[in-house]
Amino acid sequence: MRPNRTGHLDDGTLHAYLDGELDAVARRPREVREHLERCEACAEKLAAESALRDEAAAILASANWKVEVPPLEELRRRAELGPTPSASAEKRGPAMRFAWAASLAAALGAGWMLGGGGDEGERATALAVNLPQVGADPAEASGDPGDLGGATMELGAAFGNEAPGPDGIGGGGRADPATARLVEPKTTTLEETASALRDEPDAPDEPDEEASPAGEVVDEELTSRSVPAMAVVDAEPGAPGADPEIAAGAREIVLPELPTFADEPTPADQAPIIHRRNPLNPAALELRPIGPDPGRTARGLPLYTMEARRALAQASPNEADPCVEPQDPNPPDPSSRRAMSRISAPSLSGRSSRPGALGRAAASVAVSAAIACQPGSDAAVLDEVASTITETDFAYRVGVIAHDSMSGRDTPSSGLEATAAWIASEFAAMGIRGGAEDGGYIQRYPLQRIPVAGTDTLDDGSVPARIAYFPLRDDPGPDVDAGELVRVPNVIGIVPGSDPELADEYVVYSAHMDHVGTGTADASGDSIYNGADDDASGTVAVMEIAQAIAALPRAPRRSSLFILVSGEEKGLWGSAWFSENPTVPTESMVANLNADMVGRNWTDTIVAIGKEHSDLGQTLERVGAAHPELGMTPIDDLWPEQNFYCRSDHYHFARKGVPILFFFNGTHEDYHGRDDEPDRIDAEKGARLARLIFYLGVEIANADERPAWTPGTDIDQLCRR
Amino acid sequence: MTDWSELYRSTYPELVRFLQKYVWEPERAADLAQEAFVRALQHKPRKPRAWLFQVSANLARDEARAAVRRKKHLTLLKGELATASGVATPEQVLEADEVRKRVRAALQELNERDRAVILLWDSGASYTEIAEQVGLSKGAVGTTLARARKKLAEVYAGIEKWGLKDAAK
Repeated sequence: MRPNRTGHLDDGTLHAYLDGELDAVARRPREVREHLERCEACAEKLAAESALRDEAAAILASANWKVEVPPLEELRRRAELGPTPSASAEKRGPAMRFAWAASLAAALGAGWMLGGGGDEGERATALAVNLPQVGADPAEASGDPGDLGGATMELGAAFGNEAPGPDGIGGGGRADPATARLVEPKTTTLEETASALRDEPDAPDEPDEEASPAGEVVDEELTSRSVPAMAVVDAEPGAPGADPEIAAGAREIVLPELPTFADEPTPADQAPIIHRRNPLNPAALELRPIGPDPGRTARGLPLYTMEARRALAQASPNEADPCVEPQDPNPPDPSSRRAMSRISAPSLSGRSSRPGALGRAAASVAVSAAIACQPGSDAAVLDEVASTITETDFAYRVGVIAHDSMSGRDTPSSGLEATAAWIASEFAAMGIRGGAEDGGYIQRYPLQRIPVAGTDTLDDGSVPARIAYFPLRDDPGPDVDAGELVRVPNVIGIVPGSDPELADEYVVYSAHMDHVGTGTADASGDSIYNGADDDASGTVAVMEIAQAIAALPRAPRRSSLFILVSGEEKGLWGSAWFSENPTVPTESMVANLNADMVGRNWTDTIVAIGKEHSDLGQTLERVGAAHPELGMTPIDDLWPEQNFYCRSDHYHFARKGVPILFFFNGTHEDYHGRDDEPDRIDAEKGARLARLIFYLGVEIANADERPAWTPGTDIDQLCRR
Repeated sequence: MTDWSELYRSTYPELVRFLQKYVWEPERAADLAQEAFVRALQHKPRKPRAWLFQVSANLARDEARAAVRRKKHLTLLKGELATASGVATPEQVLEADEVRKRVRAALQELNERDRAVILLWDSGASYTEIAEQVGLSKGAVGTTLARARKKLAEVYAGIEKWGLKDAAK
């Protein structure tokens, strides 16, 4: 080991030299400086100390926050406001009267919690005198002498001189005695407190006699009064006594008007999530091809649409579309389609001569094509395709979306993202085109993250913040700090129309894929709001309809747009965004068919809200009457007083002038409950309803005229509540 | 006559930095620094800079005593958002938060006086000002600083190596 050749210069002098403070500490700074410059042995030691100095500075700098300097004028104004430095006192109102008490309570706590150790901060934290209701604010509490008289008097009042219990604080009206509880009863006198304060090791001397800096006033006045019981009053969250302004941290954050708030799950305030197996289909999350077995459908129509089309294309590469004459240089004339189809339709014999799924798929498309090549309106083809909407399919998809692993699909949440991704992958497998701005399936819209004061007090007394989200009217773009925004999904798919003249018009099918997330566990340990009926059922209905429409050998004349939105439960966020940022022109949407809660209650009727406001109502009745086999009668709004017309996603379409129908089976005892489980869904009924909407949508898409509003309908008037 | 504009411009950020590492809440630190300035403007002390540091130190200590954490998470979160200049990824924000936790834990391992000295130096106070603040002789400030820096670097290295829990014990 090398001897210390700079023993004559202590570390302190070296650091002072490095800090440029030699003049302040050394008796003969110039000699020291000269020595250090000469002494070779010192150089190494100096370099080591210099590195240490830099390292310490770097460590501290790494913890810096950015410092914003407010205008001095603002502080001058505050200074001029009067003898009380804390101008915010008025704002606090009566809470401030007990600031002293709170500060004292904390100090007393510190007195017996701290052994004078170094980790004062942490222990004081553990003490966590959570006193929002008494407005503890040390900066104000440790006021100038001018404050003291009033504060002392208030303290006396607050503690009632001799006989205050825990209600001594609560009795001031800040905490409800019923919910107040004694956390740390302890008898302490003010002498002890004052002495604890005096014993603070770091209590500095006053640098200036003309002013008494804060925090050094206790032992001058507040001696010898006995404080019988040191009570820390801890109001229950949401207790009537809690000051809402302070509890909400209103001084820190002025919240904009929000439709609703969302809690972000935090480990601390979250009951454990019990993931129960899906009772409907324990293997639901195993990967498997979409849809039921291809051989199972009534008339052998393939569900593997993509495969079928690919197979057909392979079988006759020049005739990928059996209804289009490939060599025809002119655009197809609708009136001649039937004639052409007879020429180009593949032979029926393909079915038996090509075994295997692929062959069967190609064959059955050929069958459909042979029946009719007019655009998707032939009754036999429609029935065949409608029959692909099955109970099994419906139940399976509800089982996936409302699975516990989706954790209630809160907006935003990972469960919602998983749901959106799954729906998009299903769309892709169905051969449905992406309908978002970028040609993909996911449209994203921004939510702003706003941390707000929490309302739950943990055991350590801390009040964890929660994150509130609210939707933004415009996306502020990529320059905004990623931590401030979260972008949440809508899933959009499109099946282009087959009529060149009408393909730029759209029938819009919608449902919301989000639900309300998780909460505290019920008696069975279930903490997940599965939202099977609300609105996995509607989401699945839209998916089933999408699959059927994509499976039509000829698409309907108008295009079909399928949108599964998020944020519905929070305030129709996703549909609001889409209505303001549509991926197809608003005026090109001829109708919106929305399904929200269609998997429960009556098996033979469905409430169709909005029937009277457009001719969609008549169309629906006609379609329903034409399909008695569905056993599904559309009926009028049963609950006009509940204003459901304005309460789901269709509202934003109606608001933009798109006629709507809203399919809804009414609420039930599990509405927004933890028991809205997949096994309570009537999938058979859901499948029949989906078929009805499918027939209706195709009818609308193929009609010569687009749907029309009932004259005199005023949506704003309807929804002005 | 005190040039308050100049004093404010030079001293305010220093006070905030100092307070930040006591209260670990950037907004609270700013509040307290402003409070100190408001009081200084009212009292017009003869040695305003030293007075400001004194008041800030008292405010910071009172803050630690009262330990009112009702806004802690709130302000921490807000602070993180404003951390880096320009765009910070969530990872960066998390990382900055982790770093602060380590620095805070390391500072907790220093005794009160050493901590005060190193934080005062870090926020720009001179040896003379530090000596006045903490009641040391000027000659002892360098020694204290040398010890505090060494300890901080050692503890921090330990935390980085072993993680927060083990090293902090």
